Amino acid sequence: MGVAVKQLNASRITKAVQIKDAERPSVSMPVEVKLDPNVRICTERAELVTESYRMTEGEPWVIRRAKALDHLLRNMTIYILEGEQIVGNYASTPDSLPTYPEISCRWLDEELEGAFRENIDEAGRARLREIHSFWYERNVEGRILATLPDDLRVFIEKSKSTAMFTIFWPLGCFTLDLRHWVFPRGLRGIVEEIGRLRGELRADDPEYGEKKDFYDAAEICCEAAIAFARRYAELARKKAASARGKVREDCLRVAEVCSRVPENPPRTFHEALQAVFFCHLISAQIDWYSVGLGQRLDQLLWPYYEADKEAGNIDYDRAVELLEFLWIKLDDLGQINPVTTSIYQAGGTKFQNISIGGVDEHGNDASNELSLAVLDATIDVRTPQPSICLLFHEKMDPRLLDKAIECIATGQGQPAIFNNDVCVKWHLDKALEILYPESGVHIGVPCLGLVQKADRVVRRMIARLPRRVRQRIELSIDEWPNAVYTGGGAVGDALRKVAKKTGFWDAEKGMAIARGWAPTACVGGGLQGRVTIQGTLTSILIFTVLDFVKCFEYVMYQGVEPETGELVGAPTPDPRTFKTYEEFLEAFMRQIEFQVDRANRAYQVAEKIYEEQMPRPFASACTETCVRRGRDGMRKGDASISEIFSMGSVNAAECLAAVKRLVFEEKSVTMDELIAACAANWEGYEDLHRKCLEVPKFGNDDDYVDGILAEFYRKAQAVVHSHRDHWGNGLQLESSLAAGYYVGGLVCGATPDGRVKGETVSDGQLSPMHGRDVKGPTAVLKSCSKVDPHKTWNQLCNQKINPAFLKGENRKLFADYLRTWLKFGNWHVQFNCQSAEELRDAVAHPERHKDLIVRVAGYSAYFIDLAPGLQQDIIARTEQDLSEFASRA
Amino acid sequence: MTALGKMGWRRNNSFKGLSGRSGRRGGDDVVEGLVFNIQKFSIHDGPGIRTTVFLKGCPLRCPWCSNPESINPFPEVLAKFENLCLDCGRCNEVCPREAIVVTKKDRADVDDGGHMRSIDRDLCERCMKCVEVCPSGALSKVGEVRTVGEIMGLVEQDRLFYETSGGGITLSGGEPLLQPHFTLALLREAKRRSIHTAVDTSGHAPREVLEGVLPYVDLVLFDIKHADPVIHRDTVGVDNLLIFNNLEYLSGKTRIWIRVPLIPGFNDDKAGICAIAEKIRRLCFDKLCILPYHNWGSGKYAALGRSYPLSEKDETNPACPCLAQALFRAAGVQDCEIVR
Repeated sequence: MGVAVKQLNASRITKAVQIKDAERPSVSMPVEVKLDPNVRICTERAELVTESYRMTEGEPWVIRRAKALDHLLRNMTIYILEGEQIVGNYASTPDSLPTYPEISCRWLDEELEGAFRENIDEAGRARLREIHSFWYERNVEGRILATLPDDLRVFIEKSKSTAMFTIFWPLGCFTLDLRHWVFPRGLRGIVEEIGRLRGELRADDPEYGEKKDFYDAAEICCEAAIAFARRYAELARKKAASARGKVREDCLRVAEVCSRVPENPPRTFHEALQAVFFCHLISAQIDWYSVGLGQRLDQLLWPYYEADKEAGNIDYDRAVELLEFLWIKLDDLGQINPVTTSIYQAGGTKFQNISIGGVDEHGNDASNELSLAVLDATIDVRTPQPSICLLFHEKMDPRLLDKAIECIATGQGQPAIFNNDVCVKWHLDKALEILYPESGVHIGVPCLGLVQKADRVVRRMIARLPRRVRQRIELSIDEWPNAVYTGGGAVGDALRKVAKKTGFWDAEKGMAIARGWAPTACVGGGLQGRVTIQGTLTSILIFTVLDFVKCFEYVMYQGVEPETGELVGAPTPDPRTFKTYEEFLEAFMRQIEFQVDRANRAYQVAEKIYEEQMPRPFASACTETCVRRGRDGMRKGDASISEIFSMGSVNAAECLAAVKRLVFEEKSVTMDELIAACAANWEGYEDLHRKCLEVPKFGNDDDYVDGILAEFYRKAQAVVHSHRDHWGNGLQLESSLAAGYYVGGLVCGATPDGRVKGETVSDGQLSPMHGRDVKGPTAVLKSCSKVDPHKTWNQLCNQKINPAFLKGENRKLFADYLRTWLKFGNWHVQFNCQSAEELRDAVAHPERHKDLIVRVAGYSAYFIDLAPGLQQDIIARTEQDLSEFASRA
Repeated sequence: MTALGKMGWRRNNSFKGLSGRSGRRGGDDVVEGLVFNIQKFSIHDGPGIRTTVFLKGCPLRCPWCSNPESINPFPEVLAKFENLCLDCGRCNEVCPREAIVVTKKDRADVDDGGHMRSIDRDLCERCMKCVEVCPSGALSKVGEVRTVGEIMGLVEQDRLFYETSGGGITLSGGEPLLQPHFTLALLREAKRRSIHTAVDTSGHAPREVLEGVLPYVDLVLFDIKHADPVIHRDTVGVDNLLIFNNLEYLSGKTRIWIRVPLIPGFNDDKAGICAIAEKIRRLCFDKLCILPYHNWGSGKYAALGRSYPLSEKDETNPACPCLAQALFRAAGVQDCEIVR
């Protein structure tokens, strides 16, 4: 690590939100969330944006948005910290975060004197209050609240006590098409392209006005971004003038880089990195409240690195150093959230994912020296952001796996490991939207790029078809790919023929696109600047979490919230009258259906307002398909998937297993007893509690309960998918929620899986409930492998490993372990090192840590069975192992 | 061996007919044995990721044994009253021999500090009635009769891990060769299913038993405690003559990892190590593994109503395994590693 990096890293201010008692299971007191008092709220962005909006009243939204960005980029405070070689800032000072009043402000306004009081001074509070008074009714939040029907508003207001947590949180992650679109031509090239396309617009185009506005807005944004970079060049030059020696050299280099990119195509590795940061900073941060990054950095930057290296301008260490500069910049970004949202967002991280590994468009290993450099940078600076994702596959260079294990051993929980083959298949499916009728519902088109070009040809071909068929096909094409046509019969045949002839249905091309996938925000996948998945070209305004455990509780209490006595779920029949397990499962599905339906209706209202009021012209300009279409990315046009997050699935499956086995199979317990025991939080029902805990639990490679989880997941996915978002796409169940699970537990009473009231639910949608997987890590992976990721998508399994397992000889075994995981076809796994704190917790609360196994040659024991003194020994050993890794790094 | 004789162990497990290779081939699945744990993801008992099956019953009485529950060849009650007892009194109600002793907790601050329990092991007939009624898991049974079929079902679950990592099944204990029929059936079944097999043995077993299982064993983890027969007998209860004879017999016939538990004050001095090295130097084996002493089994002694034979403070000097390694190397045993 260089001196400058070290200094910058040391002065970094963590913007993460502190969550008190967050990770402790079984805590039933309210979780307290607070922004670090050292973090300031910066009002500059809010002021500038509001100033611009006040001036542009009456203009089209897309133009207003572009002008606001322009005003911001030309007037905001910029700074270059000492030693910085990747530059760009987001708020007026390094310790502050901006706000986004044009999206929402009520929560901030309410908490200005409360949770955020320490983060802003009196003058700032007054300024914000004045700004908020302008936005209160005008911003997205205000418009949504005004538009929502009454029954949905009640639902949102009561969100804490219902199965759905509905939160105002625009996710909106774009994956910019840097590799194929921005880098080859630079923003200048895009502006030229926009000019050309605008010139070609015909006045008889029904969307003429809209397209022209979009092109104008996109141009304004590109010019603003170029001007923004030039301001940095200017500043760096000024700094250089008053400096000497190496500092001067560095400043001059920064000045040169910033005057070159993102306006022009980058020429060097340094320029490419700076261009990545500028585009990301502007599109995802300054312009929008967004999360995600989603770049495959090793692939994107390789040509620049290779050329630089050949010319002798760079070596590996310098590349690592530059990446470290970028890491520190990325970690500098943070987000002020409503208090409740922070909990879900794991403390306000921006989920800036950088992917390494994976395959290229031909299916060959895409990893290279830069993949290693990315990991080395992560090991060095240990910033919580960016999150690194390893796209792992059989052909991957073993050295990269080894480096990844080294990184995991530092205890950062990085990189997350994705099963590339499984993910590519899933994305292929989504990209193709399956053409043949027997296998799916949709007819779609695999390659977006081809659609526009082939349009005329297609229409000529379609014109020859019978009228009835023709009309339906035309409708499909107009609406593509959102309201897509259900294949079959003459229409289906004709369409397939057309598709094949025109190259619409180009499986090979589709595969190449799918291979270019990368996790975007959080861990949801997206296709680089193409047909995009996880809200990649849209926003998720109403962030929804479907709490399966709560749904289960509503089956027991017939839709009534036991705490309040209010009917907030579906009024399903009394479970005491059920004769079979199937009846019970059906009632459970009805509860899920009920919750999804309400969430979806709210979702539709919100998304429409977002689409209208919050276009994203800069991000759209950085995406080829948007420019070619002349449509903003927020508008209907590019595919995206609207999702509903889920939590508590493992617990719900275990609840179902308990009901199935005890009530319907063994008939040793009546439903009435079970409900009474849960209502009494097991008090006076200790035997029944034990019985429930003895029913097979997930994570032990037991087909009984694993099968129940798989079945219920399939069914739940079908229920969710049958609901359509405002674009007509089926909703997708998303199972990657990795934080906030304890909130789900807090609001639930005791449940038949053996949970006590208020106890947390499992921490990943495929992670076993804490302490219930007692057969070791291989059994956990086996259990997970039984849930088909192709249907349910993106389930996360968290595993805790003992650091000793990553030492010396064992490292090879860990690699073998991962290779075996690959064969199981699971989607995603994340490893955290067992910490000494966790072991200490096990000493205090053995009942929660039955799964900790002590592994020594020829020895058999669980940690909790050890004599107290020995437990301390092991804790000390774990601490030592961890610090060894740390010092090595 | 008297305890074993009392249980009728010998009679049921006569060594006769073991040498016959064909045996009851179709019948391996139903052969029963006494097992006290099956641990998946074992990474220290042979190569790769393995499943270790711990068999109950051992002819040796090593005072440092880290698996005291492995020694007796019959199921036992493991009692963890201290942590888990809810003081419900059900065990007292069902015990036919009144073997569960209840004493009042003596606490100055409260009148009724609850009760402490312990099991009078002399009275206990191991009927397991108390285990069945215990709601908290304070009482549990250690030792289950399992069939080869059941065990192989569990072992098969991790097959993919074995294949990727070069792992397999390890029979450990106790002394697996004390249940020769069962061990043979397990090994034969594993080999039939093409799973790598390892046996972790004290080496104290009749020659014909070794001969019988040898064709089905890929690797023997052979424990050596001490080179001196007298010290060996005085400390662990049996002579080491048979053990070294068996090791010589195995030498060259299969792969062997010799494992030496390094016990402070028993075999960790220069003379002890050199004597072991001298004994094995000329034999054919893959490597020698030094197992540093640990007292992590001491808690289990209490749960079994026994006292830990070694003093609690016996702790191996961290430098000692390295020293032992150097000594072994100096004495001509080059392939020598420390297993942690």
